[in-house]
Amino acid sequence: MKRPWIALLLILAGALASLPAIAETASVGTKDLIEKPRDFDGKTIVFLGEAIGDAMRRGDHAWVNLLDANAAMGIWLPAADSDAIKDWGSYQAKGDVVRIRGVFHRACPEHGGDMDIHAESLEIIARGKASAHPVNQVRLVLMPLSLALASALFLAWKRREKSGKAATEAWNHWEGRRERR
Amino acid sequence: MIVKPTIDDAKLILSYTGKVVIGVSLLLLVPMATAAAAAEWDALVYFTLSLGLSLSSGFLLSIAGVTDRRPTWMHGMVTGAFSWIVVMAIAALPYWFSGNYLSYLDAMFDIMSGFTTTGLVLIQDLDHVAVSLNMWRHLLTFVGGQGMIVLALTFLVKDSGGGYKLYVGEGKDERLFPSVFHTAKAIWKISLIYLAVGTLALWGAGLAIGLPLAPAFLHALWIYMAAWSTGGFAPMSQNLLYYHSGLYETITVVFFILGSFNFALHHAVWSGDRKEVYRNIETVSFATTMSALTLVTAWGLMKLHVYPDFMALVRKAFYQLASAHTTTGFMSVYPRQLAIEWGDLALGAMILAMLIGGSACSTAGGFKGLRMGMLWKAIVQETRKMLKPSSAVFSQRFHYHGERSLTEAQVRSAALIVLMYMAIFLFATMAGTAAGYPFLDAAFESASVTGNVGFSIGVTQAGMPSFLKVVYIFNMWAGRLEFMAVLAFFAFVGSFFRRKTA
Repeated sequence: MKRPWIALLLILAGALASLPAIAETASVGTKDLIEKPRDFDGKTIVFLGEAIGDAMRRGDHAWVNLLDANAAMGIWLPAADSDAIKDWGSYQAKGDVVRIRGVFHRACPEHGGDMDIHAESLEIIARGKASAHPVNQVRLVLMPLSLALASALFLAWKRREKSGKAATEAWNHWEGRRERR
Repeated sequence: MIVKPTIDDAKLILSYTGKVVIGVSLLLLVPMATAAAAAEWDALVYFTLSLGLSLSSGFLLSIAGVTDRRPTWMHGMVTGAFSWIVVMAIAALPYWFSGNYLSYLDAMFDIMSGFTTTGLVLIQDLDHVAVSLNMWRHLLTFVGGQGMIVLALTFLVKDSGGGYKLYVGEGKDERLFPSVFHTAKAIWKISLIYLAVGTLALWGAGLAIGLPLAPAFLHALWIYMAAWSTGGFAPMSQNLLYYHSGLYETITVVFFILGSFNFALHHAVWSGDRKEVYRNIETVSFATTMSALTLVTAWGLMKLHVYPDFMALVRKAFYQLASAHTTTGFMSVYPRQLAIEWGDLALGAMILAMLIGGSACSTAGGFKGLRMGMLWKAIVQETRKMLKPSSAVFSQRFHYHGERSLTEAQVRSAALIVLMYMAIFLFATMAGTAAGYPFLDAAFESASVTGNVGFSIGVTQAGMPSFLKVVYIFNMWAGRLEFMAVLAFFAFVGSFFRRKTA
């Protein structure tokens, strides 16, 4: 009866021993990094996100910003690595999904106290693609109608203003005559 | 007792509101041109549709309000408050059509935030927003900084007698020239010259930090608009943290501090009176509170070992505090970092800075340095009175575009405004705690909306309760207009619908 228990304990011990390796390979999100920064400060982590905006080259390194479900994080990496990213997230496109492995800094001493990750390796998980923004057909029909309505109301306003002014002038004229009498 | 307003009073207010709506509607031509240039055809369609609908609303209001009456102070004040509400509802159309908002209330929240130069946002997926929509966001905050009514006065309102009353109704009262039209034009001239200088400076910095040519220009234009108007909007969700650049941060600091100064001070300096900068009660008050609160913030951060070295500490503490004090709201940290890491002392200093704000008749919000200076002088005067013989006579003086004597009426007025700011600050803080947020978080966010700052500790999100969004909209509106116009508006509406008494 004792043997199954011993086997189970051995399996559990094996699983526990392999935990650090799992923590290193599982990606950490910005929610955890921002909410519990001291837990990850100075540690090597894996981070996964969509490349957004543009790469900003600074000498032989570059900044890229990766966006996950919660927020974007600044990644400092060799400029040559940033060349591997082809599509950048914008209105026109979804950017490449990138996995990086690097050291997380809660308040980076090299970069003025910014929260960032210094990447050691980069891997493209999925290529980006163009985003479609089809023109809404109902709005396309309503657009000239709204402009026509605005033009008609503009003319009506000008006519109303003119007749209002004429009426005021007539009233002032009549008032003036009455006073003179 | 307030005299019951007549239909003619209401017509006059509708007429001027219509003109403000027409003025703001015409601004849509800018994002339309941007959408055409960027080949964003769907955006071009919804911006054009919004133009048609908003112009129609403006013309309808103008038609309903045709009258030859001249505005009085009451009309100016009520128009000031009412036009901001109407424009908020109408200018939200493109936001709503863009699909980047979960509700129309969220779209209106962002419009009020932009116009009041607050800078808090409920927009979804900001990093994938159309270029033209970003242009609209930043243009609104730029125009809001100078004032919508200043815009209408410059181009659409020809009545010189009533113009000044409308101008005051929007929370400004400095006359750079005897004519209010020349004053409005001078405000635009100052802002547009700085626009050219600031955009060029940030464009150069953008290229230096590695942004490509066209994005560097667009980022420069938008960040300048948000800095000068002390708005705090940015085209990317990370706000200023996106750029990872001390150079970019430094340039924005220069322009948001300049934007927080009184337009009359800019005019005085441009007219050759450079000494006004050192002697003016507002700049002295700003320098004093800014220095003291930076020290408190830095001390608070040092105690908690938030930053690894002195330079990082100074850079982060000074930037966030200057941004808070000028009511800009640019952030180079994540909102939740403030809540989790900065500690109560630094947050307390930030709350105080946000409430004090910038200068009167500037793009900034808050109590204003002028009122802080006056109240400080009044405290000094009262203390001296207590220490000297009762027969001694004191007169307290201050420098504000010339030497002036401090009068009891000025002190009472300043104290009243500060008291009203504190009242709505406490009101929004209570609303935040009622919604379930911790007291300090609720107080921080409340100071941010009341002072039209835009800093967030993480409370302002699309998922927050609707009633809190409405409270924040109210605080942004009342804080920006400095209460008088808002009180006049409620008094007008109340007395308009009051039953006739014998």
